[in-house]
Amino acid sequence: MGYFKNIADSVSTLITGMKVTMGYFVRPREHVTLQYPDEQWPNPKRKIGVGELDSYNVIRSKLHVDIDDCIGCKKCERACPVDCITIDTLKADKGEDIGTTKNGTQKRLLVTRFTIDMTECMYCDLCTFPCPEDCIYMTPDYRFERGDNQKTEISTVDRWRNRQNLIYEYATVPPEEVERRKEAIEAEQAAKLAAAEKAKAAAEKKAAEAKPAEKENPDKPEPGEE
Amino acid sequence: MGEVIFWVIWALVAVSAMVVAFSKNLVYSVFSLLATFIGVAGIYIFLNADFLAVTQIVIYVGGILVLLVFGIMLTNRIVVAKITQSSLQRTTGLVVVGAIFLVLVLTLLNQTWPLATSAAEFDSTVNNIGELLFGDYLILFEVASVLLLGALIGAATLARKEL
Amino acid sequence: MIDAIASWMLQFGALNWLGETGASLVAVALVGITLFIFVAANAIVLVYVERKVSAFMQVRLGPMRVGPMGTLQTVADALKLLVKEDIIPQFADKVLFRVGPWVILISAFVAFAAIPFSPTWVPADMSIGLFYVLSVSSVVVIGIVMSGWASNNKWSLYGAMRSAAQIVSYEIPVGLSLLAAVAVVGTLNLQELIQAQAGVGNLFHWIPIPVPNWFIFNNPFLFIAAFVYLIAATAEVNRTPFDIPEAESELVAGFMTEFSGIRWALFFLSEYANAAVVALLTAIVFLGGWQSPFPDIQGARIGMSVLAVLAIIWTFYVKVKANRLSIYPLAVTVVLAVLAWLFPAFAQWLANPGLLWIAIKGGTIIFMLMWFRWTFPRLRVDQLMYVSWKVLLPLAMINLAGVAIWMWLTGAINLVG
Repeated sequence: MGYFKNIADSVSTLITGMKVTMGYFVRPREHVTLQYPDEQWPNPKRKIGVGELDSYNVIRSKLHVDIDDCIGCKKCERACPVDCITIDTLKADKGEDIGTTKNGTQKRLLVTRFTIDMTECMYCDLCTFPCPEDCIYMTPDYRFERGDNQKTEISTVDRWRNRQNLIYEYATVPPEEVERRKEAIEAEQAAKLAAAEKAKAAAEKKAAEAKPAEKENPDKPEPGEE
Repeated sequence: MGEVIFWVIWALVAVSAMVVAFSKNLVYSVFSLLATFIGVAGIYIFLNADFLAVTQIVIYVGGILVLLVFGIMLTNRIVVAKITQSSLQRTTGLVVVGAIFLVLVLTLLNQTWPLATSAAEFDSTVNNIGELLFGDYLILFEVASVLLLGALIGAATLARKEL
Repeated sequence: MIDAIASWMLQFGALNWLGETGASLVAVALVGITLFIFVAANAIVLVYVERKVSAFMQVRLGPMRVGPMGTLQTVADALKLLVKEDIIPQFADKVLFRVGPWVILISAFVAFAAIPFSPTWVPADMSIGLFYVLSVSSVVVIGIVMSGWASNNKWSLYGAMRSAAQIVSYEIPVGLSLLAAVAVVGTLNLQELIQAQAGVGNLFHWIPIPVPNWFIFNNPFLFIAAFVYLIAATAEVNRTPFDIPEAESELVAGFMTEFSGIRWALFFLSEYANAAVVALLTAIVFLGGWQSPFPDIQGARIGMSVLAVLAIIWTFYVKVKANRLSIYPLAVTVVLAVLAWLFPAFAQWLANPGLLWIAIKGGTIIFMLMWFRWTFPRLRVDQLMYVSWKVLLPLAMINLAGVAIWMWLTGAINLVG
């Protein structure tokens, strides 16, 4: 009889198992794995007990700059203990309006380069405090993957070691624009230089004509040495 | 079209049978038996023996061939050793095979083979075989099955260690 | 069907140059290509469905990223397999390694030749159809052993030998349980087998519940035989819980271990072709094949209404038991029932035999196979043999005898003749 009991047991346990899986099959799928890039868990709120400042109590995962609000004062660059921020600026043209920040400050310098090297950043948050415009801050965005480098020909290992992936460029001024402005400034300088030259020559001529009373003035400040 | 297929099957059977006989690698011989059996089944189909053809596949491919494969695979050192077959006693074998061949050829030549004038109408043989097996030849069928059952039980008994 | 297509082709003047022979050759090629496309599409769809079903049974979502709901995932996988490098291990037997997958695929594929898809749609209507399908599916063993041995890998060889032992053992319950159904009509022709299952009758001949006249409802022994067949056939096509030939945890992938790329795709193709053959054969032999479950328009209407009532009960049951609203089955069946009552043409279409019904029945069986696969753990080798020889075989034999006795009791045969 053990034989038949065995068969009966098997059949009943098999049916029990099939009921379980069918139960899961027809049940609405609520508690399933998130479809990660499309859905994410919300970042937890962080409270480390130092002050009530919102910018401090944030998960520090990535340094971010609102480049539209940056006035190019380079305070953050100087504050950075590991020199991971690099800023280049150019003076705006005379009378040109390059916009205001969200605080209403008139921008005077064009930020042509604002790179943050996230391989060097140590997430100390020291750069965020000197900023007069509150435009550099830490974000909780922990996703550093960049797909664009995969198009290059370098091997996987090199890609892994290639830090270019993690150097973030925030300046949005197109390179032609930078080039144009640099050329314009150089031209201006050249023009100034030429004008100064001309003026000097004229002055010398005048002095020579008048009399060599004074030997020579101390050098005028060179134009374009801002 | 039928003739072309027939000759293709004929070539399949002949070539694979030669591989079976002449291949030095025993495994190749066994696997080319597959082609031989299936080709023979095809020839049965040309003889309108559909049931026989399918039975050929079931019994020879599904049964005998698997048994052969088991026999070869379960021998020791299958993974390392090259399994070869070599012909022994060639002269004796040649004499015996030659004699059989002679008998077959003589039979072929002396027999008059009646040829059908037109292609036979295809009629399934299953019903006839069934009626004959379970009607006229029931006793023989049962005796054969009892014989096979006896063989089965005998084999099982012999295979047991504790006799 | 070949003749029908050939004569249809010869009706066009432009194709007359083919002649009788050429036309039938072209017809054979057409049917073969159609079937092959069916087999390939079948594998692609079933792999997707299998992944989804398994995911749903394990509280996952399955493939979601390629195409809407991941529907193109298997297409992408198939393309990947096609372009992969063709690797043959250095010490493998080169010839048999190449031939093995094709033997498996061909033996799985040719079985479709005898499968009737609709009253007119059967590639080859042969008098020994059922026996033919059984016989060609037994050739799979040779292909498995061939590829397992040729891999020159001990796990592959173990897998192959296990597979051979398993298939040889399970062929017997498969044959005997199908024989029980064959005994009822006395034919091996699959079309005649289906035609014998037309109409509506009493459940088990005496219990006054109207059910379709399918063999599974014909008598209790055939009811058991259907399940014996399904279990044994699951084992014969090496699907879980009987997948010890490719047991991942012990044998890596059994006889498939060394295969990759297109050859591995062939294994997958044949695996799902085999599953389809098993499902279709179950549907044909026990569930009436392409027969509609409804005898006529009125039957279709009543049948759909009964289904709708069942769906309502199911909805209430779920509401009470799990406190949630299961609306889809209810909506579908109610809509179908209303359509059947409103439009006689729709009801007629439901009552017509055809491809739809065999597809639904086969699909249900395939779903059951997947259900088995994602529910049950794998059997041990000795348990496998125990199930085959000590449970299924006696059960199948008792069924065979029982069917004969039942037929004598119901007067379908009498012994004095």
